[in-house]
Amino acid sequence: MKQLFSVSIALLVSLTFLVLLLFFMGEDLNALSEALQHTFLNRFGLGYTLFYTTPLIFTGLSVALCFHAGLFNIGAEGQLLWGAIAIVAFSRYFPNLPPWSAIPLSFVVAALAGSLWGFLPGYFKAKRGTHEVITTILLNFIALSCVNYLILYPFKNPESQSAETSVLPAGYQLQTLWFPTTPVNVSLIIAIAVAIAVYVLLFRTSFGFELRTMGQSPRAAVFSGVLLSQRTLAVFMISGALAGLVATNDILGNEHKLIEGFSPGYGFTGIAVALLARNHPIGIIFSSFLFGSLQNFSRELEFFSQNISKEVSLILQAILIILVSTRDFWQRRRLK
Amino acid sequence: MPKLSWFLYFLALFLNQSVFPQTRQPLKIGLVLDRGGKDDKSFNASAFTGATRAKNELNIHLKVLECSSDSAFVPTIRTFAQHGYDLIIGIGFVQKSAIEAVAKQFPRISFLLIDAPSSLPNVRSVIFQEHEGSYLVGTIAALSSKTKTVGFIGGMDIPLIRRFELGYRTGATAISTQVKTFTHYVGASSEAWRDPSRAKELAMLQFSKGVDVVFCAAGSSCLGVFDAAEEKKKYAIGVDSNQNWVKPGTILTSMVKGVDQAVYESISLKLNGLFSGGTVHMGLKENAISFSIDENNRKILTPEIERQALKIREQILSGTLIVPDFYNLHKSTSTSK
Repeated sequence: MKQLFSVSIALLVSLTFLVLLLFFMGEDLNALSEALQHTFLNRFGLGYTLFYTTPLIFTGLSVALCFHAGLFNIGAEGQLLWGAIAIVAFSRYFPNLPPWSAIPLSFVVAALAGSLWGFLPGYFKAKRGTHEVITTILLNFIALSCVNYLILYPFKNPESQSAETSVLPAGYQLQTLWFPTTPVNVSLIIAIAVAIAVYVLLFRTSFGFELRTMGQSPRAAVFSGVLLSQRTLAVFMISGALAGLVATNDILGNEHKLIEGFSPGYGFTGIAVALLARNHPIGIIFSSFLFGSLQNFSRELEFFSQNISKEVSLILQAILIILVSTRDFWQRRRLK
Repeated sequence: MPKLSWFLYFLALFLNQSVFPQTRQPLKIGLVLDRGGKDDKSFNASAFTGATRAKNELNIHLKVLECSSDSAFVPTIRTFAQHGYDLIIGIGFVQKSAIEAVAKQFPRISFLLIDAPSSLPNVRSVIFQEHEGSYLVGTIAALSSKTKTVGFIGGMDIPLIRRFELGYRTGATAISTQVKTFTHYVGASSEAWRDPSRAKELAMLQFSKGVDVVFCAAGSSCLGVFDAAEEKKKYAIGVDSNQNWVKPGTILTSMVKGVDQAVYESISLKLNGLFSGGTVHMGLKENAISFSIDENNRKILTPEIERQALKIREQILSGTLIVPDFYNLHKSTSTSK
């Protein structure tokens, strides 16, 4: 309850800020209401908002799971790239699979690829004690270069001048759900299901209990018999798998091909998403929706206003995060 | 009584339609720029100039949107379509698949696509004869070079830019077989359009090998090449827009590509109901490809060289000189793009 309260205060403050900004830029305030309507109330807008929500659920979960175990996964961006290229590679080698096997297998392949890339920082952390923030950040660059190489050379679409792969075979193309002309697809439902699964894993299993103990006090975890290195490895692999699934939404559901730079930083926004939801898997669904709508809203606002650019959404995101993360600060002061 | 109200209703309708004709809604034009944005001083800036000119001179409503990533093209174009825009303009070959995807869903809306062919009936695509202009600046480069060594720096290594390169090198070596050319590409990915520091290093490398005129076709990466040329007191040749003003005294000339002209023309065609799909080629003949001369480069581009370049331009126009076209040499990779 308290959480909802602080988030709504944060939302109100950022909305007020936006109104002030529009006012001082000499914009018509109708632009704001139009943009809000086109983000939530019309089918096209809501469709895109939901479409942008899906990848953030996956990366948010990926980051949050690590947070619970006291680890930082800044590498979701790299993991999701491997998930994406894995789907492309898989579809190359099995082009004729029918949808009922191609789609589920693509999900598995994407998750596997992500988890393999998550294995690396997990391994370095568990066996060598390398700090995972360093390794995950650096592995992002390696993943980006490798995946770009694969897009530009082995999997390049020879008929296009753009940096993109060929279009996936028909069996791999997800159809849109509920919202025609928008790319919302079944991965949204899977993302929500996965969020619930992560909730169960964290709060209803002994494995989850161990993770949380490890996050709150590694020493206590060691004394109660948790094998830290093994758990670290497992957490990173699961987190990687979650991030790897991002690709299903964009590749199977939308573009049906992998375009260089398809992710506008989902992995990094995922950190903000997890932060806003205080790492609660169910909360992440809602905070993803919030960030997804911000992404869509910024485009609509740019469309309806005269001089407002997309960067406004970044400012709003920053304000939201600052307000929500300083909540502790306010509360502590109240306690004194 | 109801009869009377019906009568009044129809009377009102009639009056509304005929006696007080509605002022025609201005044509709604949506312009989608690629990641360079309208301040790239080059390709997108040219499109923006053309659209702004149309806005000032014709009765249109113009909205310009920039895309921050390649995956933003489809939703942006679709936003325009959803709001009933009459003509949507996509700048750059990267938008081809996005434009085509939306054009199929909205067959009654017109689209303009720059730099890539399309066979959809509601898409007009404009291809520029870049090789002709590149040939001209190639001759200018070779004539201006004291070391008889000229360089080319391309952005992303794709057939479109190879077309510039081939024209340029052919033009330079046509002046004298002694002329040496160096070619470098900034990269193979789309980052190559936005990497001025790497482009600068490549320019420095070419200068160290004796190059003293370099032609750059690399989007905003070119700004790095201009920096290098200014530092080393060499010449650079700009691209797409007239870039002479960016560094007066350093930029020998610019190979101007009339994206502004194509945009303006399509808007006015649409306004007059003459818009049609199909692929249009624009080159020297349409004056859509040229090299720029203004007060910024008047001092460095000698009248003698200008006269020679104009003479070659005449030869290309009359057909006595045929510039090799990379697209024709490598049909398989480029025609179906």
